[in-house]
Amino acid sequence: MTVHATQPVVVAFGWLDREHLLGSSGCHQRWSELDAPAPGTGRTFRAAFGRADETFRRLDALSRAVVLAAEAAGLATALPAELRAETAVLFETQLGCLDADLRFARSMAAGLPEGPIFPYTLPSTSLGELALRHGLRGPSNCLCVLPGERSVALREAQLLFASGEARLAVVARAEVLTVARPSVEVCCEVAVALLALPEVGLREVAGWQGAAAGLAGWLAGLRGS
Amino acid sequence: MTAPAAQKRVFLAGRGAVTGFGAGTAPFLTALFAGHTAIAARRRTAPFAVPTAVAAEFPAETLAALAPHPDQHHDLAFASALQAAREALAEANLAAADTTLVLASTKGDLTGVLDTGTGLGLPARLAARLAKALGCPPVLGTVSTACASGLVATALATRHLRAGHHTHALVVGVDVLHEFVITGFGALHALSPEPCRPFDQKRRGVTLGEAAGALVLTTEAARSLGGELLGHGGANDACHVTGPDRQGQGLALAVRRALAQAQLEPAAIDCIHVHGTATLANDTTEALGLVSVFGPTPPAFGTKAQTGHTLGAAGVLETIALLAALQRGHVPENQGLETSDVDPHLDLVRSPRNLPRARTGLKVASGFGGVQAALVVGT
Repeated sequence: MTVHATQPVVVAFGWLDREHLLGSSGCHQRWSELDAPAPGTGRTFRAAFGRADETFRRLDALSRAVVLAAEAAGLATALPAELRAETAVLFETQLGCLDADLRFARSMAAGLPEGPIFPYTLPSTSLGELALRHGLRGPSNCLCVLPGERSVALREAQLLFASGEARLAVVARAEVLTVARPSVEVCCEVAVALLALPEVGLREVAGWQGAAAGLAGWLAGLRGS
Repeated sequence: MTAPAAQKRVFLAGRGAVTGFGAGTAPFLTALFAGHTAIAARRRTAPFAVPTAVAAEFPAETLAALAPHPDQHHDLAFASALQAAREALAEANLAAADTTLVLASTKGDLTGVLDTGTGLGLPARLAARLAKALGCPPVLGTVSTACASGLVATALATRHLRAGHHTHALVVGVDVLHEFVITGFGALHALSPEPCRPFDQKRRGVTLGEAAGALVLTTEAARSLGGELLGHGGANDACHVTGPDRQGQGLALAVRRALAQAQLEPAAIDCIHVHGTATLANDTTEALGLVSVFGPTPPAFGTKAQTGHTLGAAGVLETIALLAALQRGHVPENQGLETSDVDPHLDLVRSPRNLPRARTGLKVASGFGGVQAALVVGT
């Protein structure tokens, strides 16, 4: 067994916060233009990208945000079809699916447990929504982190590259909570990046350093800074 | 790219378990190989209005030891994980300070979601508490990939050990029966009203269980219990978030990747510990996926009809069971299986079988989000 020294390039990026939805596809929209608060409604995908996503409407808020950010990254064009089966998916989150947990808990309290929302009480389900839309069939992991812990998924992506288990990875950090809890504030911030080893031959995309401070700060973890 | 460097080997050095059979790896394995089941009429969870009469709960004496007062039941995930972790560290003869912790859990500590508390279903909080209580360094990783969490966490720890980042890792998988989770499975119509029967034509769904399992992994061969992690593989079905790929292609991909990493051909696998949840879709597609890799498979057994589906703990516990099968040269029967209705090339063990020459085994798991994982274990 061998280990490879590696330094991936950022091939595509997407970013979603309470102000913007933007990414390397060229998408750059304010939520005021989309006529919805972040992370949008069931109609936001069509409003933002001009075409339908058949199941977007039924997604929970976390999955909706991740899918939008990935679309803003332009994964559909940045990631060649022949490379998708080997592309890993890594997800990092502090709040996980707390938003869906609370929604399911409310349905329990009302005496009508909402079956369709229950799968979204697992953070890997949001990862799966991303994987199935883009045909990503590489190793998959969802990492739960503490406040202040950042770039854990980036670290794991680099280890997958180093061990030869993957040459490409879609890596996401997502924090979405639409209803505040004691000690946890409402938030909406999602970063998605497509990383690839130089040997794959995909070109580094320009502009992620200046696209959004949160995105640049997160991706700086790739350089260990 | 620089020249490749050799990676380290990873061995199993310690095991811990708290299951429906009680506290300890010994009672867990003794019960499994004796053909017992921990699935019984619900007791602690009896007040929960869900469409099943059964579950694999901690037995009364274990519950009393973990949480002497009913108002401590909310902390069973922490208490059972701590117990399993300490057992594994003791077997490995290692101090917690010398290991790095990886936690696997679907929901961790659910306090604060339906009631008061600070767990909020965020496994990283449980991991941090556990590391502090044990005296471990900061947590290496907290994995929540549904029912594949245990194997994915083991793979994560193995990757770091092989790369030389650490010498020892403690992998703990835990999930306990909580009204939130049982109700959720009930709302999905995934619960079997009676004890589950994986792969049987009369299967009607999952029986949930609660458990904590722990493994100490090490790169020091001298600490090995006689088991080595030879390869791991991951994949995603990328077709549906709750249902499997109808042909089991994602699972097959994970198995092929694990075999490739172990540098083994399918014929080198002597037995398989299956995922075997007893849902209609899982068992059928799991069989198809395995048969697509192996053709006629080596002997295959599952233990969820004995432990219940322990979710985040399952991968860790079932790896312990696989290692025991290899070391004993003996696999237990698939409880509840009378008439298989899955691909007949999956060699489901129907009565305890001796495999005196077995040396290498495969463990597989699947989880919501299309996550697939496979682990090759050698002795």
